[in-house]
Amino acid sequence: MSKLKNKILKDYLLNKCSTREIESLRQWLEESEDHASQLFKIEELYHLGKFHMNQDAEHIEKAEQNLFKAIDNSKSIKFKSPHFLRYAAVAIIILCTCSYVGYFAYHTNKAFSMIEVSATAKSVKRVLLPDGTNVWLNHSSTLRYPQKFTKEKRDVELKGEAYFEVTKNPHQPFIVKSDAMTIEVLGTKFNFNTKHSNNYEELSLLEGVVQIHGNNDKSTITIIPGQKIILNKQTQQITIQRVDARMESLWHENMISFKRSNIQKIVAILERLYNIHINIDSNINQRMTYSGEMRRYEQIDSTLKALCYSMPICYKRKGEYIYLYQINK
Amino acid sequence: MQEESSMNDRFQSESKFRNVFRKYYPQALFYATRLVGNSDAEDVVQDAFIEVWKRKKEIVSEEYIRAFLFRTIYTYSLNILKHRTITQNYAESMQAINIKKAEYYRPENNDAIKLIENIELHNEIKIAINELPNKCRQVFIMSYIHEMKNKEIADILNISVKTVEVHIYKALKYLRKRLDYLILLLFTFILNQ
Repeated sequence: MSKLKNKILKDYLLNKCSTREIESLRQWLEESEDHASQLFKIEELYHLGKFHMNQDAEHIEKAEQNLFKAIDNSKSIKFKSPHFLRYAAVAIIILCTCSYVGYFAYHTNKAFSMIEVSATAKSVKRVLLPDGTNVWLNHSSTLRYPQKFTKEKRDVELKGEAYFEVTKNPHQPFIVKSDAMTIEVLGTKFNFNTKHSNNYEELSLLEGVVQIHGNNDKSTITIIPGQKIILNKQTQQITIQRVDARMESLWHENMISFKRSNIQKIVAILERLYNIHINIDSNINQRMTYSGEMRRYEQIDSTLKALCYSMPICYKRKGEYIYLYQINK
Repeated sequence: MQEESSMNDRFQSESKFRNVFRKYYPQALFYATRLVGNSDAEDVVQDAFIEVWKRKKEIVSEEYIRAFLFRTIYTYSLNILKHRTITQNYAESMQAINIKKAEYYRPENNDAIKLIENIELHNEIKIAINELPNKCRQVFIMSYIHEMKNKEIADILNISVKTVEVHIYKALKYLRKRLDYLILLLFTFILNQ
């Protein structure tokens, strides 16, 4: 029985084997039954140590969301049966009738016509409503609003996530409806996320006051700036947390402003914006702060470069791995 | 009234399913990655969980779910591997090695599966690495987890390659003492340098 050369083992683990090395590895494996389990156990352990350092809760949560998206899709595929055509025919007839009726409704009453705006999967879209309210729609989100608001109230509907800056008008409440709740405001800034990890809807308040009614519940809740309300759609349970509300709505900003922020704070903001992890070297001075505005670039590299111009720090990047360190004088 | 209770049942089985998912996802992903590699592993695991979802009413025990999950991942992975040998012209020797590897990871092989399920082992590796002194840990993680070359690490940390080597040597010495059953792993790792 021969022993496997260390060089071959190492190259095999790092996936760098030459053709000749692969050939001798194969010969070694065929020498005895034991060899296979020896080699693959080493390989397994090698990867096990690495793997579990990289598994975080966020990754699992994302996978869970994707899984339920796939489950929903596989449900809708089921309808591709001959029966489906029959239902489709009926649906088309109903649709035609409705649009015929709808056509007349549209022309007789302008308030009925709703406008629907959606942001694509990759862009944030800014919408200006008839009353001057600004809405930023996050990726793949949709807002429906009437061409003209009625005198009593301003009704809109949201699917996805949006940041609202509502024009003040005490006589005409602004109302946002989602699947699970209805929000009523007079004039405020808030971030509303209706699809946070499938089962939850979240609302965080930056300014003013909002009133929230659950759609299946008659009670009303009022929150104040700096608070976030989380509604579990399954259990109808409501939680209120203290948050840095600006962080929640950060995604809509084109300019990132920092006010005497230290490196921890800056990194936290960048991590959130680009959905990445940044490693900070222990030699970075934590008391050093930065104030000012920075453009938010599409690429993290451009933003990091801009940051390195403004502070005595440097960054290195290798794939997903980003490392910030201070320049030694 | 009856409708309400069936709704409750549905929620209950869904939340049970979600718990199972969170618990087994990391193991399942690791298992699939070992078989088909990074690029296809997430898809394989997702498809396997969809199968579990479809059967969630028949499933009685968690032990059964786990076994079913690993078996499904294994079957799907073999299909992918078979497809690959047809489409990609692998060297014959590499194919032979991959066949033996797939054999090692079959769900009946307790040696392979036990290691994956051994949560204590995972935690211990993590804890041991975290016990290393600051700089030493940084260097070790860059080298082992991120597979960076010593020269690259030296450039980033602004230290000499020699210092990098010293840190890795120290880290390995400590870890070997701390995790003796992992000697194999660390022994092979030191060859990296």
